[in-house]
Amino acid sequence: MENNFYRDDFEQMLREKADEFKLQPSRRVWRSLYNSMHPSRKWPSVIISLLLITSLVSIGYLNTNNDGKEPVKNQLTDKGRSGVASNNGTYTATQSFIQNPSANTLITNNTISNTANNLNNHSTLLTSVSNIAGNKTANQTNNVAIKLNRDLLLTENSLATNNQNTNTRKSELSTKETIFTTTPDENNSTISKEVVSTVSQIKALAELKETKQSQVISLTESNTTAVNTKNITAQNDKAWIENFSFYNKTNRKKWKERMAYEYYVTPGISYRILKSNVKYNLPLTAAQNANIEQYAINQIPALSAEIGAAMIYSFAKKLRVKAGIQFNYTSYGIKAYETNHPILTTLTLNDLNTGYPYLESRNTSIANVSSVGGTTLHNKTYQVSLPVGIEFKLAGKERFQWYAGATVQPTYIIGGKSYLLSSDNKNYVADNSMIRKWSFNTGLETFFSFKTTHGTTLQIGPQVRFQVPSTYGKKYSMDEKLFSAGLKFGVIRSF
Amino acid sequence: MTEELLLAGCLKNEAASQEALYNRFSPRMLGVCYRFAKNREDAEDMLQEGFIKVFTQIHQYRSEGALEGWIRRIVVHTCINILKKNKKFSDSVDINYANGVHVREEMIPSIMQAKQVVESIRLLPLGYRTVLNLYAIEGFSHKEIGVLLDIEESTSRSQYTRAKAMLEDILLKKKIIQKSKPKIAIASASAIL
Repeated sequence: MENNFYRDDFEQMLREKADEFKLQPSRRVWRSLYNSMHPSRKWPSVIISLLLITSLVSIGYLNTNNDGKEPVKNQLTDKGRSGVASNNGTYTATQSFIQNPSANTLITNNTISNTANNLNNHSTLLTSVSNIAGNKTANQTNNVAIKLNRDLLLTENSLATNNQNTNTRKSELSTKETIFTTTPDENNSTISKEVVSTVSQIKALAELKETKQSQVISLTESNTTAVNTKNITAQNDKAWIENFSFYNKTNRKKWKERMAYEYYVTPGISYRILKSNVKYNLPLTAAQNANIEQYAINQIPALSAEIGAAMIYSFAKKLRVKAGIQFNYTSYGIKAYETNHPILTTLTLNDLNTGYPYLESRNTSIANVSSVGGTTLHNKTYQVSLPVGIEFKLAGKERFQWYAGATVQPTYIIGGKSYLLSSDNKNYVADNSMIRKWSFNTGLETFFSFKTTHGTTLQIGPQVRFQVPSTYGKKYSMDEKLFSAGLKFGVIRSF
Repeated sequence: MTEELLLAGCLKNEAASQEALYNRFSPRMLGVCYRFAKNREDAEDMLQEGFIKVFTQIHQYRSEGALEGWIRRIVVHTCINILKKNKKFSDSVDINYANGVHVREEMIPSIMQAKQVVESIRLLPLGYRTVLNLYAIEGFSHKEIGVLLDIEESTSRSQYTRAKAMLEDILLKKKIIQKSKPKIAIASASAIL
């Protein structure tokens, strides 16, 4: 160093030492640089991020909304409040009907049929009527509402002819309306208006009864009974409304109840069935034909595995569908022998244009006949598939259940290792290019499931998987059908 | 990959060529940035800025000189611009302070000689260090330094003299150089200046 330190050499020394100095930059620098130079290539990650965010937002939206649908009760309430004329016909608000019972009010079939549908299909208004009546007359009242659909058009003109008895009943029902509408909770208020809507329709029934006494006298009696026997206090009604809102959450809850996600792994074994894929006889030489049968193929099963995730949707009590993604590993062994030197052999291949087979020469150092050292070849594939299937519950109730299921699995073969049998069965040739890319599997399974106290469901059961097309393309003269058998372990969680 | 192929790829904005070029020259260029920067993170930022300029202006390279020299010049200019932008360049000390500076032993690493020298340079105040880097190592003239740093040429000279004296002091204290000969060197340098 000191030799460098002369006045003329000072800068030179500094320069030499400084030039020797290097620092390896962190990878961050190149990534930032790359992104600056190629902003467009950031797009895939940006798009994926956007998709992810959109998905999360959508899931969040689904978890907090009712699939974008206004609750039926709100629709009814709003219509009732505003008295807007619908496209299908005019009707007058039930609320205003109650407030001004003496007015000539028209109720279209749509309004009542909506109510009737709700009564029949969702049991919502039926329940409300049942609660109002507080006795067994609810069903009768429901029938009244249905019959009313048919009679309404006939009775439009007679609605104005109310009598005092009816007014008295309306007065009672108006009191009921007050009770409901003064409920502070918004949901309860909505529900109460729905009930009020029902009540007003019952009132309409009463009026119909009076104008068409000969036809609907029995209805009026039941209706009157429903109202007169009402012995539920306002507090009871409020409690019921709270229960109603709790137990009658709409589609979102149903959707969540029906959906679940599953993770599973299936260790097992794989094997294959090999058969010829040659349409026409190949003019093999006599020597090749001579002892072809004596060179038996000695193959053994080997470990395989599946690992995947799926979404499950229960669309019936005993039936559910599922779809997901699955990674498969298949493998089997072939007993063979290594040779001391490369051997010239042939593969029988199909000409894809003509369909005729031909021989193609290959070099190999693996024999199917006794040679120097025994070895085990492993033919294996790595696959990704999209299983779609159904599961049927065979037995079980609460915590223990027994299912059977089937799936179809479009499959992409990512890669693998393949030793092909030579034309004369004497050798094996390593060639991965014959493996097809797209394939198709089917799966059958049965399993027992056990629901834990934490809401997680564990499942275990045997599973078999068949590969429908050959592992190899049409070019190779042999068809290989893989099949796997394993024990599936799964975990299911609800949303 | 030859330099010509790298250049051709970079001219086509091919990422692979750019990465190869970056991998080839970035360690040395980061060493350059490190001498100017306050810390390693700042040095990497300078390096990134510098290579962006290299890639965006590579069509201006005329193959008249070494590619490394061209890249280095861009990187050095980038370092200076960043220093000026951050307004850290006004940092300076007078000669008295420079002579009296105390360099603690643990501040100077002793893994290898080049690193020792560079770390010693980095102990200089920013103004001194920049002038010394530009003049002694990068080969700029005082006139060019004056233009680059918006200072007088004479200021650059005096800053360099002080920087050199301070660096000698640091090197002596670190025992990277022996005491006797540096004194002669300093004396002769003072006589010249």
